[in-house]
Amino acid sequence: MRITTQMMMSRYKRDVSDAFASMNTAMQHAYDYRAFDKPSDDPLAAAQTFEVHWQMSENADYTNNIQNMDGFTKTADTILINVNSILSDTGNNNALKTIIQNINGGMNEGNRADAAASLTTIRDSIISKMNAKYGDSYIFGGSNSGSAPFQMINNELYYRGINVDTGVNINGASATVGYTDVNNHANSLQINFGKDIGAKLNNYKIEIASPAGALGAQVSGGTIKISIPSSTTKADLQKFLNGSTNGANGQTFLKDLQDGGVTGLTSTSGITISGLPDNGTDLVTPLGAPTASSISNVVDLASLANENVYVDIGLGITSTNGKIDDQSAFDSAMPGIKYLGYGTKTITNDDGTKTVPCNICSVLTKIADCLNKSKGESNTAVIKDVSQYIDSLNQSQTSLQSKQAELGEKMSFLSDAASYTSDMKISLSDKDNNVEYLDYTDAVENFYTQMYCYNASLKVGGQILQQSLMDYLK
Amino acid sequence: MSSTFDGLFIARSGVRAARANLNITGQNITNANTDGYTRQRVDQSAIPPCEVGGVWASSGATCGNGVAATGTSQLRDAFLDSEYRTQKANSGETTAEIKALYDMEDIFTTTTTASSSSKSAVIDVLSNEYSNFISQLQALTSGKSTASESTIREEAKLLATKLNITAKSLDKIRSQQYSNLNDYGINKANDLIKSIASYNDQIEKAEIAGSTALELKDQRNLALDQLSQYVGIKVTETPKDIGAGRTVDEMSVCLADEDGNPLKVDGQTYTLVDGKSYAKFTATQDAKNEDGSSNTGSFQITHIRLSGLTDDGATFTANSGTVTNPSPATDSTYYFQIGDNAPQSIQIQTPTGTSLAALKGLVDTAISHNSALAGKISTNVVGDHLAFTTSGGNTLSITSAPTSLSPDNVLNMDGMKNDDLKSGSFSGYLKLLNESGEYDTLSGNATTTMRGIGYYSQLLDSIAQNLASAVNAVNGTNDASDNKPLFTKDGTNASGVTAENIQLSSKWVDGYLTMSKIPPHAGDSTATSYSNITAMITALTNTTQNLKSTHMVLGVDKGITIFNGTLEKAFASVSTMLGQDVSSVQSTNNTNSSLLNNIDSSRQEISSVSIDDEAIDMVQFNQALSASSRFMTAVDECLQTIINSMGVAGRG
Repeated sequence: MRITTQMMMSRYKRDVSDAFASMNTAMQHAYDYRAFDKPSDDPLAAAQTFEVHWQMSENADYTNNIQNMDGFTKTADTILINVNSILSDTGNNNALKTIIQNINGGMNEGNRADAAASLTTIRDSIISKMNAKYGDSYIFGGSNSGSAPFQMINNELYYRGINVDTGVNINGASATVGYTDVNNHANSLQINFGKDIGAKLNNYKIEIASPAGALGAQVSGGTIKISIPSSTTKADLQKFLNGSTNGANGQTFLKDLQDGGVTGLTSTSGITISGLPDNGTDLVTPLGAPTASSISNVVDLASLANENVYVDIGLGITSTNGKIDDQSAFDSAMPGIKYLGYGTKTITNDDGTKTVPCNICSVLTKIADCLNKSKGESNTAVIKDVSQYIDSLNQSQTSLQSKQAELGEKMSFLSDAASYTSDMKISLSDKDNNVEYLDYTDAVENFYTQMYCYNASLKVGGQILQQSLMDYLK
Repeated sequence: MSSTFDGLFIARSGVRAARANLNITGQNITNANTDGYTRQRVDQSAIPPCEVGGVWASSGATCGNGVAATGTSQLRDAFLDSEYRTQKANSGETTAEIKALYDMEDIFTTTTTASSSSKSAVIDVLSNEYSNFISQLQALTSGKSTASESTIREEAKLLATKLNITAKSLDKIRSQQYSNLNDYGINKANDLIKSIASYNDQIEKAEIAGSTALELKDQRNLALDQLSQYVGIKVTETPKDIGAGRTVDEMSVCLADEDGNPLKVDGQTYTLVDGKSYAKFTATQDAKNEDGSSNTGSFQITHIRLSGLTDDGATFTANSGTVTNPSPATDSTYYFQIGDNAPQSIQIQTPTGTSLAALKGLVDTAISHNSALAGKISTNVVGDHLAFTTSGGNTLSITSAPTSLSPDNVLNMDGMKNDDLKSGSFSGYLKLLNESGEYDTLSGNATTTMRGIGYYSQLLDSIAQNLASAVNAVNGTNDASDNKPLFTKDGTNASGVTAENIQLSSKWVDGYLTMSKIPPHAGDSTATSYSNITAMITALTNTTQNLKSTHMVLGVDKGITIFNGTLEKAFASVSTMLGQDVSSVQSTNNTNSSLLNNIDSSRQEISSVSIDDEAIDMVQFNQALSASSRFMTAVDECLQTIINSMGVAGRG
């Protein structure tokens, strides 16, 4: 092969430039240790790296969530231990168990009032503990952690405005009414009647009449049938219900109600529809077979006590029909009534059957009431009166302890999850090192190799480029 | 028997030849580093004895008449030239692509120091921003005190802004690439084409005058090499008789395919240069596909067109019933209305330099495509006119007013389509600018086009749309889940979101985020249960999204799945897919450039100057010159002896 000066020169230029470029890359790698500078350098490593980055960020989120949840549940646990110890305390004369023992042992009238006052103090102390906050959240508020959950009104305990014994919501009544939505699916909307209207319409039923007729309402047999023409929106419905617009017969919903025998109402202006969209354009179409729903101010306490608030702690969160699947996330809700008890139960004794509250604080209120009312009663009568509540108190305390044990399981679950995420952090960091970074020794050794190559190419160039036959001709 | 002074003639021819060779050696040495220079040599041959074959030819010891230097020629291999240009076109295509792809890659990734360690890391900017958004949502659900609706809103804003910036950067790259193509590529190629035609003219004139014009040929070859970077070319040289038994080679250049063969579409080749005539490339952008249908994509389609040949820039004008070739020349558009009772319109564009024959071809095609006219009108070239003849007594009129003509009837005079450019940087630019990979593909078909800028900008649009619809649906509280969009295209409207316009809803102030969808009890609030935020996290990280192509191809809704997976994977897929594309083009480009270097080496092996060779030649021709001179001295001494010393023997 004929090699010419130009060929040699241009090839040498190319080779030296390549050697220099390789040295430059090796030099960069010797101080940043990165396996690639751009995804195109190594698409596979880049894809793995970005995946690891994402997993690390996810893991950090989970770790954060677990830490927060851990603090949250630990604080809750401490409070519950505290409440439990109040219930079990025998340490002094004002301790609950001591008071109860003294009642059972018989006490004079003056001491009864003192005991009642002590019980009230104990109850209030439990309530104030149960209204504790962690950060900005009320721990035992269930799905509403924004405001203090427990409140004493007229010597009765209310959890988020709902009587813990009866389930009566003092803020008003509501009804959940079925309809067909814009997607032609059976759906339901909640009509809130507010405090005053709710009291008047309590125990009435309400339904959207099918087939649709002209706008209006009819009350018959305790059921309010609302007739709405096609193309009625939720906003239209609300306007009719709160009296902003009249029905087809030219009269208001209030008048319709009054015509149907509802008394004592002066206005329906407080009626609202829950989740009414801002634009209010959703159409409400009657269901094929409408069912009447009760207007009630009684809330299902069991469902209130079993509310869930899910937090993603890396269990592979999934949802079905928009609802988070139970096993896929951590349930951080701790509704206070779940621990203190709710509702009532019926007991039978010599005097017949009697309804006693299940809530610890309500029970304490009842016992204090008994003591306060016991003026002139014999010790035996007082002991008998009180004893029916003592059983309930003991049962509620047992229930609290078992719920506390459940919380303990939650805490140990969180602790497992925490050690998992911490292991995961180490393993992800290892993986990141493997895919994203070079081995230090390799990087440095490679730099020296490239530097040697570059120096050698310069040396060789110096030897050959200057030479030609011209140099040897005389 | 040779004449007395023959020896002197022989010696003189030797000295002349040696000097010619020495001069050429000098020329070679001085041009050793001249770009495009081809090594030259003297063509020399031995002169036979003049008596050979003659009536008075003598027998016995005869001698030739020395050496003749008949001319100079270049050491060049036309086959290697052709190989080089084909490969240069292939290399030009991938070089144009890789430069833009590198720019694109820089948009999606950045190098930064991770907060968790002192090491610098390559970060996928979009994924990073997306993951920050998720982290804020997570922090809120777990009740972290620093997390609030406003921190989520700020993070969402950053994510939307990052999408905007990325999409705009892609647009910027598109406009930069188009301006590279137009301002540098097209103009430079046109200059080269024109200069090749000019060299052809000069070389032909020089050769007719008897010169070899080797240096002009070198420059023409250099221009051809440079042109091949832009488009694949095929160079043909045809001998042309110039009288007196002499011929000169006339050169023509036409478009070639990726294998270097002349590009033929329906039997037609596309000539760039023919002798001193030349064509011209133009690039335009409009919202039309190559078949004239409207492009529904978000970007303009670039078209490269080739004009007919010209050497003086002739064009046409329309008279009633005829088309003539007027002067002065201007680019014009004319409208022919041909028909009888139901007039039909055909619009013909005639760029500068369109040949009459080409015009006839296009008019015929246009007529044949119009069912009302097909078969009723024929055309003929008459002198410098294109004449229309109607059959069946139909009347004919031609209008120059562009009245209510359908743009779909616009025909280009050249007939060349983008797809006809098979190699060269033009092809690379067109692929980058026009092609969108899977987004160009009809459902059920294999993808045949490259993932150009359009693919990535449309992928970003798809991601932005899916992000918006996933988040908006979770935040919505009405039956259609569309009343409280978080991401919109203009602050209010959630439909028509693209990566470039995605922005937060102007209504998003504190309290707009739906924290829980469970209707609260009267007087109660579930706004702090964050159950809906958890649902949003699920939608964003665990729900499979189906990213479908949204635009139409040839009027057909493609609806093919571009990506199926979670949004997080979709975000990450952009930069990794681009990385793979870059890596693949980079590897092809490396192969192309190494092949080009090999072919160039083979070419240089023959054509370039070696100083050693020339040094040896110099010594050799110097010796030849000395020897011829010495021979002349010998002949001189011989004649001295014959003339002055012969016949004087015995004189005292």
